[in-house]
Amino acid sequence: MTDWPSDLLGHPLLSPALLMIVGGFVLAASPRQVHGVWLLAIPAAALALLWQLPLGLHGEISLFGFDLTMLRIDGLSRIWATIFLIGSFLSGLYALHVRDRIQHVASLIYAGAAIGAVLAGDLVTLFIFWEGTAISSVFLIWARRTVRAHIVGLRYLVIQVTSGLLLMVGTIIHYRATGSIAFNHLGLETAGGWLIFLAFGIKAAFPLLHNWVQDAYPEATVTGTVVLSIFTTKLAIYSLARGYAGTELLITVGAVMTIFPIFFAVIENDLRRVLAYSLNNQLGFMVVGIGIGTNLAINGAAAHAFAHILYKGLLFMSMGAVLHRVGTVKASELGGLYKSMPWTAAFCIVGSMSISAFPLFSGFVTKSMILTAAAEQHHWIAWTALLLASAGVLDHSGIKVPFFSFFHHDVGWRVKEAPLNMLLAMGAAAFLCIGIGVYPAPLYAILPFAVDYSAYSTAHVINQLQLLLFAALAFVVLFRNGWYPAEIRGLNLDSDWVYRHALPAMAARIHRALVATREHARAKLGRLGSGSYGWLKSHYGSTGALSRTWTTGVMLLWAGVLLALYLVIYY
Amino acid sequence: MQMLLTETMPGLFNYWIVIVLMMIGFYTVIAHDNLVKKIIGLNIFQTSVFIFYISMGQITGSTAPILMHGAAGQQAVYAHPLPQVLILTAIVVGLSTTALALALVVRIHEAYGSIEEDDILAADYQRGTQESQKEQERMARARAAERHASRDADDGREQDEDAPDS
Amino acid sequence: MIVQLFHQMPVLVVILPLMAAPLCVIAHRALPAWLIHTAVSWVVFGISFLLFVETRVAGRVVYALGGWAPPFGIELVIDRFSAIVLLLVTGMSALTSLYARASIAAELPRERAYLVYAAMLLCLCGLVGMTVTGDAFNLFVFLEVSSLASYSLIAMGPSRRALLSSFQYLIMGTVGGTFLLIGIGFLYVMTGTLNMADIAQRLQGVAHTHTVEAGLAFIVVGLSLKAALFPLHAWLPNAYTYAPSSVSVFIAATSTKVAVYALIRFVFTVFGADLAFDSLPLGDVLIVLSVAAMLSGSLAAIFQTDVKRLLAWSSVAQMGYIVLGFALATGAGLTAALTHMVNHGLIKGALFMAVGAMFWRMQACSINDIAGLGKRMPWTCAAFVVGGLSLIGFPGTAGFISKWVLLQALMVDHHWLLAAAILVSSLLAVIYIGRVVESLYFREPAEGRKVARGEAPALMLVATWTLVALNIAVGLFGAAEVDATRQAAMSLLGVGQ
Repeated sequence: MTDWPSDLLGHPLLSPALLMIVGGFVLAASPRQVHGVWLLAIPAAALALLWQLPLGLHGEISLFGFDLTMLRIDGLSRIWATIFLIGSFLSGLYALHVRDRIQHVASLIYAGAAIGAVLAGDLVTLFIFWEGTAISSVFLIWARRTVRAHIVGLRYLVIQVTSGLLLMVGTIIHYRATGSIAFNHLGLETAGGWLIFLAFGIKAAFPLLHNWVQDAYPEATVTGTVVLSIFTTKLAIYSLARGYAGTELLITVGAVMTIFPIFFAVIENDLRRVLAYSLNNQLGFMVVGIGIGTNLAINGAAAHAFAHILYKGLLFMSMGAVLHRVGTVKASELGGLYKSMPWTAAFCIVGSMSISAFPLFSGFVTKSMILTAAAEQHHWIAWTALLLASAGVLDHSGIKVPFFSFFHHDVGWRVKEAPLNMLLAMGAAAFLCIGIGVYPAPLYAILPFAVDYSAYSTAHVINQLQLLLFAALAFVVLFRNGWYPAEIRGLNLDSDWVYRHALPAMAARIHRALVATREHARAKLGRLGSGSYGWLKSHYGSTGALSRTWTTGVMLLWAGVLLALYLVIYY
Repeated sequence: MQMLLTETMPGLFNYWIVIVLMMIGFYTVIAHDNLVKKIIGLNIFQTSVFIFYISMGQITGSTAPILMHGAAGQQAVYAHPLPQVLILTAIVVGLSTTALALALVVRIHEAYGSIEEDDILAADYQRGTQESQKEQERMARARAAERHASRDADDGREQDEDAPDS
Repeated sequence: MIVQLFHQMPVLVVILPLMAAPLCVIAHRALPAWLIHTAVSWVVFGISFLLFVETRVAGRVVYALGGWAPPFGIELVIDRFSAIVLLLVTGMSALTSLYARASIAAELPRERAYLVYAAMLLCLCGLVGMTVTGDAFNLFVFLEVSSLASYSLIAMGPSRRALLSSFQYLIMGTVGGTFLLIGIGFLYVMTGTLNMADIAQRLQGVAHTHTVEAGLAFIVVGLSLKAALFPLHAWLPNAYTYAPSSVSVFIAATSTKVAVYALIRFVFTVFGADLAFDSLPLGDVLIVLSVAAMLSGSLAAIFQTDVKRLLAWSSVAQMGYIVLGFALATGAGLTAALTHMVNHGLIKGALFMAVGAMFWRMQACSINDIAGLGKRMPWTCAAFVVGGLSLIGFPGTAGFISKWVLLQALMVDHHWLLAAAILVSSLLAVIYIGRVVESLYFREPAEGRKVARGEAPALMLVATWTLVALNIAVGLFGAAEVDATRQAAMSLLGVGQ
């Protein structure tokens, strides 16, 4: 493989993204027996191909009058493509038992589109694959085949396509302003830049643009959620890193993103939705990193995305396994599953410790880079927000998710352990989480910029300690409010524990206010929505005035009116 | 005299007739429910245009554009023949349209038992409403028969993903 | 001999279908009539292609009918613009001919099938005639030929509702045609000629008279009726829904486009952009109407349960895109309009073909009837998905090229609101296409019906997938198409010949 002719290697058709997409189509037409092999072989082959490609721009083709660059291999794009392919491999392994052709095809194409977008050297190529991720991913939601999934999927699709359209318009404006479609630093100086920023923002789930994540991800299939959690948002993070590194606004946006989902995550009962909120929070870290924009911060964002895909995927996988076996992931209906699903529980705890950035786990070595970068650049407010958020992560993802599902009081579920392929996928992800935490050098080696950073070096020890101290402090606070003992006695707690003790009084008030506001807004919007829907339906529905058959007289009357209009205007 | 004829009421008489006929025709098509009356209206409407064309080919004191031999032919002022030729074509078109329309009316009468547009549309509406209700019910039934959780369950039990896919 | 024929090409495209139509009637049987229809369609398509190539080289092909020199005789003029439309119309006819055999056999009584082929040939003749003629009155005649043929085609639909749909279309179409006739009359009064180029020349002195302005108003309204521009669209959804499937395919892909072609031809070639757009506010009115069409059509499409009807409403919306581009009256806008004329023909052709195949299979095409067909008719449904993506404007498909070019045209003049309207309309398209796709792939057949696996007949699939492939080809290599339409637009505006 190493002695492929070099001119062949730069060929636009020889791209990992196309390999994945074509693989998806081939899978669609191939018999079920080979699906498993295909799901694993294609990402592996694409990964091999990716690392065969030399750095630089390849795959120039001319499409509808533009010279497109299909492949841009540099540090930033390569690490993203790598982790996407690893994620695709793991999710393929996780989905081996699924006998649903559509899901397999959609996940391969979706992954291929995401990788294509990451490798895109210009905005048009980016847009093409950007839309590709939108369209292919919705099938993973629809494949759940519930009424809710149908509706949610359509809603999700509309939001994703909106993002794509904004990107398209932004690109056109940008092209007209600068005469270039190259996807390099864009900045917010032009209207096009803002539109593209907004497009990225929707996919990156910026605050107030974030709802689709919590709306859609928990509604997808068991494996679909895992796949979804890997690509779309991280693609947006990559795009931000490419186009808007060092944009001050992102620091604020990111800080808000890290903080606000925590409250919602704590009061949410659906554990996959809890994870969706914490996904949002983790994205905030990366966005802050990009906003800071120094080499270290970008490295941090990239590394964190890398680690994040693994541990978030791991957490979604473990919750998926629970959903697969038990049939629900409602916190209030789960408990004591560690007896039935010990391996899943163990892997889930690894994921939780990673996301909470325990030392020797992957989150620790990546998140600290962003914090250090924030401290170096004296963004103290953002730094504080990140610290607070880190503590929050511990609360909802680190403790809540494994605790409520696997420990807590035993509600009597006696189910089988997750299928072997799921365990293998989780095991591999868990191994990588710990591996990166213990020995981060290989990860650092593929970061976009040369790394002079070590999570365990003396120069940064103080920051690490501060983070840990802060987390410990949060623990203590919780302890004094009656949380910590509860966790100790976790296995024989009453089910109403969460309502009596769980939340410190002040946090509870904030929650109540937030919930009330949210419900209020929801009701308002709901009324507005159903009101306008009703109006539309009454006018355009099958019996609506604007869509049922008119009499010939009415039709002709319009012709007369229009003619009169023209004549009046002309005279 | 000539000035008077062309630029005053009598000289424009043809055009006034055109406008009046056009309005009558248009109004009939719009206002009458009966499909045959609509066709009649359409014919009047078209005829007004024919007259319009013929009128514009008219030259005061002219005769029909049929070549005459001899002295009369030498002195004769012919009306412009081209509009008349055009209108011959247009009449053919109008005739075909009328024939086709009437044929349709016969078929409509066979199918609906009426040639009042209101009746027919009412029948269609009724049928359409029934059909759309039926479709709604089918949709609801199809939804209800799905292998899945109720609408408001936000954990939606995962069912039967392993069902065979063909 | 061959060279002789070569010179006769412009008239052959009109004459051949006209002569073949009575042959179909004489043949009186489905199979020979179909063979005639297919053969003639393909031959005409081949000639059109040659003409297209010729215009690419020479710019213009002119033919004096019967040897009478213009402006007295009737002149056939094929320039770059009409060559594109000609190619679209004849190409669609050729593909429909492949498709029609099985579809018509399934939907209509055997003894009436030959009439469909005859009428389709007449319709083709009319549409082609409208495209190639350089004579205003001649255009009216061909318009009526195509209209009469399509009324009878629609009336042949299997449901009784086809009859009233056809009747309503007849009334509207005839009024539209008569308006056009009045408009042409006004022009003739002022210029004394019917040759378009000649009218254009002679109009210059009298452009700003009320007669000419009234003529413009009548012609625009008349052709808007035929083009189903909002709010004159009301005949279209029923006509497309209740016509036989193959007729829907052909008419949806061509007839409104040719009406817009005629509109553009009159406004730009005859009246001139200066008069229509600078002196008179035609552009503003058309922009408002086209936006209304886009939004209203898309909204109505969302609520439809019959998929054919859904597509018909989407056609109303898509006509809005075309007219919007044309109403901008800029080179870029016209390019966008022409591009979308072609692309929308390809898209709607493919979609209607796919739905027709589903109808062929299920004898119904409500969104409930086609539920679960994704696994049973994989190729047809895949074709629908690709066509749908193209309609939405997904990159790599023809629809994307259209949208891209149109948005660019809007950006030149900073029409932000219009761009927003297009985006909203595209999102609505996502919803209505999404509903169908969801039903195809993620629902089970209604009422527990056992529907076995089985595809549409091969010829139907071939025709459908040819269009789908064209969609993708245009999407990938759109530069050539946009180049052709840009040249056509430039020749219309009279620059950069």
